[in-house]
Amino acid sequence: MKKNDLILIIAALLLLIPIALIIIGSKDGDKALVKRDGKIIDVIDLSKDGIYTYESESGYNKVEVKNKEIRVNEADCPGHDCVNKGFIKRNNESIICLPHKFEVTISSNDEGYDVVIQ
Amino acid sequence: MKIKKIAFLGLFVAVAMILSFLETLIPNIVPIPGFKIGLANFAILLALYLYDYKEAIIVDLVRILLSAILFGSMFSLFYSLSGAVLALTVEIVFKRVDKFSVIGVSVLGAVFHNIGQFILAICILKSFSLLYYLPFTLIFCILTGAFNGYLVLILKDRLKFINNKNQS
Repeated sequence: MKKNDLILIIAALLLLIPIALIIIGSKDGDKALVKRDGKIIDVIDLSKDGIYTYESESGYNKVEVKNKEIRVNEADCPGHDCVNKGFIKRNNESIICLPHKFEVTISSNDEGYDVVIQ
Repeated sequence: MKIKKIAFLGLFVAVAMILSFLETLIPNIVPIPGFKIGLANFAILLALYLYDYKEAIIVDLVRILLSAILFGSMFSLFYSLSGAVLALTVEIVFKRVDKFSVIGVSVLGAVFHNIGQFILAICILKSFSLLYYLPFTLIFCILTGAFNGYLVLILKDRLKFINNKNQS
């Protein structure tokens, strides 16, 4: 083991851990943007519970809102990564279904600046 | 010599396949199909350090093809490939540069494996929201990368007899 290895690992962790902590500490969002192929196709209000279905030629994703959290509860994609992801609620967090190019991203109404540096 | 080498490369592929399979049992922390924590990189690193870059490329390609056929899909094939090509290139370059030991090379490989997969996923999705997960996966893969590198560091001297040209 060389000294450079330690420097590399410690520097990378020192850079990444604060970023991860900031992300974990971010506020809960209050709406969800539903996107397909990079374009917003729907905006869901997280204060109302409900089930929404989005279909396209590649398949469908069923989205469920419950207690200000959102998840994909059913989909016909091969890996089911979007369903396994479970509920999300933090600002900017997202559920992604790559086979359908489908994503749900949490957003905030006050145009989400978590921190303003002056 | 030739036969011995083929046999050992086959063994490396088998080890990589077992590790790939073990990885599929671990729940996915990131919603990218084919995203793995990178245990299989151990066998590729071992091939890179016991032989040379050609052998490492062979083992890596065979591993990706076979594990896509056995446990994955055509879809996950491209994700594994995008990460592996970038990771292996970085590993080969940094092994040549000789600034880092196996541990550093392994960590760099793991980091670039991650970055390669994220780049492809972002291109397909046409959205940057995936980047949210990048810090978490990077922390995770630095740790597994360091672990892999440490294993190869201890093993590569003990396994030198594999590539001993005088013996055969």
